[in-house]
Amino acid sequence: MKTFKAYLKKEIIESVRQYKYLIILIGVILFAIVDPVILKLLPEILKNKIPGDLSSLIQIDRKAAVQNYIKDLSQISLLIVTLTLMSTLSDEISSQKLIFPYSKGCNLSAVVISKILHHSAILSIFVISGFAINYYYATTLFNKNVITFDKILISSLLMSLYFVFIVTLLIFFSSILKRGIIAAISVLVVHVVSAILMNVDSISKFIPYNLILTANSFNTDDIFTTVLSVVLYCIILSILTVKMINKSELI
Amino acid sequence: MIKVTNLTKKYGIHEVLKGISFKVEKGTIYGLLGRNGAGKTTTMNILTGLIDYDDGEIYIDGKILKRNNRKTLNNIGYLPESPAFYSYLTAYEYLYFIGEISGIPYQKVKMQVEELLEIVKLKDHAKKKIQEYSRGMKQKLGLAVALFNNPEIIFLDEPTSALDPESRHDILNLILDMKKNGKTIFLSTHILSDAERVCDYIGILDNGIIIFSGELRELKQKYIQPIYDITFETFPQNIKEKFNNIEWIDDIKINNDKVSIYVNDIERAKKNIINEISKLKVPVISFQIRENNLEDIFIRMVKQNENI
Amino acid sequence: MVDKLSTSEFITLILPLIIVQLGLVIFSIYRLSKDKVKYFPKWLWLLIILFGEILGCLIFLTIGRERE
Ligand SMILES: Nc1ncnc2c1ncn2[C@@H]1O[C@H](COP(=O)(O)OP(=O)(O)OP(=O)(O)O)[C@@H](O)[C@H]1O
Ligand SMILES: [Mg+2]
Repeated sequence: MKTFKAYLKKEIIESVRQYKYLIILIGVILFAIVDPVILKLLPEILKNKIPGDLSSLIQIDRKAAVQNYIKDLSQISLLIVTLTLMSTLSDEISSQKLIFPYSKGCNLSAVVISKILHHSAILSIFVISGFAINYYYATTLFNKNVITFDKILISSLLMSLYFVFIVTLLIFFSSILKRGIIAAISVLVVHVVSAILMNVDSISKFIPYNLILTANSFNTDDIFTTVLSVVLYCIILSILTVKMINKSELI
Repeated sequence: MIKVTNLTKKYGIHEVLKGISFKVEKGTIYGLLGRNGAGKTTTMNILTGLIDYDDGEIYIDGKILKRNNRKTLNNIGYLPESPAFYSYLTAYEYLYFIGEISGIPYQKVKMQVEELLEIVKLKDHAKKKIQEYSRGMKQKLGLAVALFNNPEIIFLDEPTSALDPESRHDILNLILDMKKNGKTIFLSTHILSDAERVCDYIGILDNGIIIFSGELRELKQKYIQPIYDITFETFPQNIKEKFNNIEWIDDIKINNDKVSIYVNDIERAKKNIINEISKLKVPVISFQIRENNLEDIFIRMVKQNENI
Repeated sequence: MVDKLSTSEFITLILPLIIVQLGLVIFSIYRLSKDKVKYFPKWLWLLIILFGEILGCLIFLTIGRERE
């Protein structure tokens, strides 16, 4: 517990001083504003280039504004988050930062758990705020195809859970691979592969990527299995990471 | 306090430690000497539970340090050879962080932080971020961290390598003070005069084996090769020819008008050297016996080991 | 909540974006002047920051700087 508290504080100071909060905040919230604004401006931009009625070609409404945001979250924002957090654990080991804490009796499991919880909490807060801002812009700029706030809220929770999964996976890879960039690439590979696997109907319910598709469709009737599986994956990954770090050499 | 038997460590096929054994008594200072790449740091990392080993047995303070399931005492002092900190923290913040991990109450942490910063003379820089520190300052801070919470066993990997002469002197005195307080200290160094000053016991590590482990005193006695330094008023030209065929003399080195005579049989030398010198019929200004220092011994031992 | 917004209303809406954009560019240039950089020389990073706008800044801040 003492290690957990000390490391939680340290993570917060680190994230502030190395601008991790700033980068992730902008990386997550930027598109909440940009997407609706661009969508709004699109008809103006394309007016002279494409003859005829644009709205028959592209959907321009509230729902589209939110869906665009979800798309960008699951692509560019995810990339930014992964790159920012990629060496959070591997760096501690490879640059020998754990030697002093370890020689003073720090609990390695608590180090891992504090990292997972801290990053998960921060990402969830940022993602939910992103959705709130996106909702505000979407409702101000568009009035067709109304989506209620509770649907947005559920979508934001599903997306947060997906980001929590990504962070846990990243920290897990970071505990078995020596270099952060390789951990980041592995996470992105898993992300892409699981998107492809969504085409297999029989297993799609158990694939984390289903969270994104469900958030995007606002049809959440059938989400329970997926949420439960993802939570389970996160717990298993955390346990594996704790096991790995206690076994691995700290240099 | 520390007992190591047959410790073996491999990196791939490269066997760095080939079954080393030694013992460190409580309340003494043990110095591990060896060339670059001899395996000193590797030994330290194993003893502190940071890396695994392949074979052998290690007891630290009566507790076994298992393979594959390392669990060290929860408070040791370890100063690694290049200490790494969370360098965006200030020295104060870092020490408080270490204090929190140690689980001692806040008031006590505060007292210790002040005290340790005073000892290593970093008080004036304690509010700076560690990334702005010089190498020597980092080493001092590392020492402060290692001494935090008053550990019984302290491992120091080249504790004086980055320090200026004054700080080196301070730190060596600090190490001697710690011994007085009953601490056990295991250190490695290249600076043999430092080892000579502080260590009670010496281990010499070469090519993955311990070629000597024992009291410094014993080492010096065993490897004593007295050298007589003689200064003549006028330089005796014929000294080399005359002394060359005396069998208890090993070697003669001439340095300006000073002559060093390396002797292999001390008893016979004691009896006869004055007599031999007087035969030269040259006035003598000074006559002195010199002992090998640790540096000479070290170089000789390592050379010997190479020839085997 | 209408489809047609007045220009001033619209500017108020995108104002945060402009502020973030400007702030981030200035901040990135400040860090660029102080920190050691990786992968590219400083002048190239400057171009990335200026023309890559927000994304350029984020890329610079995440991977372009030496952490220690
Ligand atoms: N992680 C590693 N992987 C492979 N070989 C290693 C590793 N660490 C050390 N070695 C090898 O082990 C040997 C001993 O290294 P060690 O760092 O213990 O030497 P040392 O005695 O501390 O040297 P120095 O005086 O330079 O500090 C060297 O030959 C080194 O190349
Ligand atoms: Mg070394």
